[in-house]
Amino acid sequence: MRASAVVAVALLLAGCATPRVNNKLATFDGTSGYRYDTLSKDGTGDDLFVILAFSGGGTRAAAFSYGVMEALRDARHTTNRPLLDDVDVISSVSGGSFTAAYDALFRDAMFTDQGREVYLHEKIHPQDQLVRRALWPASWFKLLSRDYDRINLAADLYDETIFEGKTFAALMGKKPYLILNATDMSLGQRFEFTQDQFDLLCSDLSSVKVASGVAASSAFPGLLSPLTLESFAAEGCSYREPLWLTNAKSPDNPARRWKRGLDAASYQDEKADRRFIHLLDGGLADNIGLRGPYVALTSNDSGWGVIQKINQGVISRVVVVTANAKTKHKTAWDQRRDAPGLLSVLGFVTSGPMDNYSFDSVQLVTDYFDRLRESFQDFTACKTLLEARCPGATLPGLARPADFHAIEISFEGFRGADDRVRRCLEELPTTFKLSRDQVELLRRAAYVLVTTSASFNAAMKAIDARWTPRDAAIDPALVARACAATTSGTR
Amino acid sequence: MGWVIAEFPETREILVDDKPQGPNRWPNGEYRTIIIDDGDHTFRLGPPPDGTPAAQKLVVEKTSVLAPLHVVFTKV
Repeated sequence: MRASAVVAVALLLAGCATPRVNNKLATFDGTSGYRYDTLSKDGTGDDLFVILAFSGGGTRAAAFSYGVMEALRDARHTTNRPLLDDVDVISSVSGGSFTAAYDALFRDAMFTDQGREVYLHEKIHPQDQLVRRALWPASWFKLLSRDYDRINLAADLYDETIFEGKTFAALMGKKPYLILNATDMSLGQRFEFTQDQFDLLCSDLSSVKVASGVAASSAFPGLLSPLTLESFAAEGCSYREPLWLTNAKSPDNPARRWKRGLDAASYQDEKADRRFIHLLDGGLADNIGLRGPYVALTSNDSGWGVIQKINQGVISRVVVVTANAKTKHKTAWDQRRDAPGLLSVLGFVTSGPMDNYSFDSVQLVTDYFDRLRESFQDFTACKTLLEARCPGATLPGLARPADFHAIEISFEGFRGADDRVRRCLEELPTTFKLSRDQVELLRRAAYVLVTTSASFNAAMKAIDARWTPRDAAIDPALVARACAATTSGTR
Repeated sequence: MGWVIAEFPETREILVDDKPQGPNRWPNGEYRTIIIDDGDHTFRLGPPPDGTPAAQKLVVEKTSVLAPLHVVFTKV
């Protein structure tokens, strides 16, 4: 009798509807909702545009990106203003999304002594809690429902213990503009938690929990299930396709823009019948969070186009800082004739292509900035020559040239005498749990890498002619404690 | 990476795919060259609506900072 009652309750609970992750947008309005253009311009200097990109890598990435932000907070320029206050956009993936989202919601609290302790040593270690939740009998009943899976369990945990129930509505009206990146499984492409993206689903982002965006962004395949969103495009919301999208779908475009247009249009395409969108870890499409900024830097199509702001004369300086917490695990494959086993192969398949793509992303941005600088230099040189040789002749004037800085912060910044630190950091696992010393090492390593970076100091000098580079170092005792368990620590 | 000049006898806002890109001329009257990604784009001028054509759909390609695409509008 008691067993029957338990089964009945279980079935009842399993059949209970799980709240939707996302709701329908009543009526499309391209000027409202969580978009860059609706955010307040107060606080950040428009002349300087700063973009941060945070890579994936679990707790390792969350702690590393925190250290990068600390260094930016302490980099004070002109009127003693922290560079962190100039950040306009943060684009993040997976583990980096925890720090990006937490900063967007709770920045002031994040950098107090207590706030830092709680964030770094409690909030970014959800692994044990996730396992405990999965083992709770109450969770089993919920997991019986077709609408509730491991990812929903994770999202609920993050919502309760990290993001305090906040929705994207809480981010409205203030910078930095947060872009949490997941991967659309059908397209294999980025899916951003922005209203520009949600318009294509006729869905309202403002009611979506920030925890859901972070969960989707960090839904590591196999360990967590995909997060499923509903598309209401078939029901309609008076959606009006923007002109950039209409033009991007033309085959006259470069292949990359054309594909981007077709992918975006697929959400509204009745024939494609995409009623549900399944999202996995953003690292599968872009493990460094830089592809969205690359589109904004190079194309007029983006909802927060940097090109447009340069053309308008609003921006004169662009700084892109990438926090790349990628690892490089030592393997012994090449010392053995036997081929690597299944687990090793799977590990390579999930991380190898990601790392290659990340490298290309950084290179794309750097190359683009180089081409822009060369163009501006060519123009200036020709104008000078023409005016010297042909008085009265003139060249049509450029839009005001801008100054560009791309800064990558990665473990590879430790070289020579610091090689042991690099090897130790590269061997840290991709998990959602690390030791106190490992977290403190990551935080401090990021701080030192930013502070001593030549390209960072060049950018700061360009912003403030009085800028003087500072020294920073890591306590060798911290390195010894944090690296004791790694192979580099035992050498 | 493409470069474009919007020619019109007077100063007007340039719109590319309905997004404003600033004026087509500098205060001294010189034309401004703007940066637009290669591909299919629709060019319009901002008000007053005294230019023709009202909009032009063109492919931006094979341009350079010294050889931009000239999108020409004439006054009605």
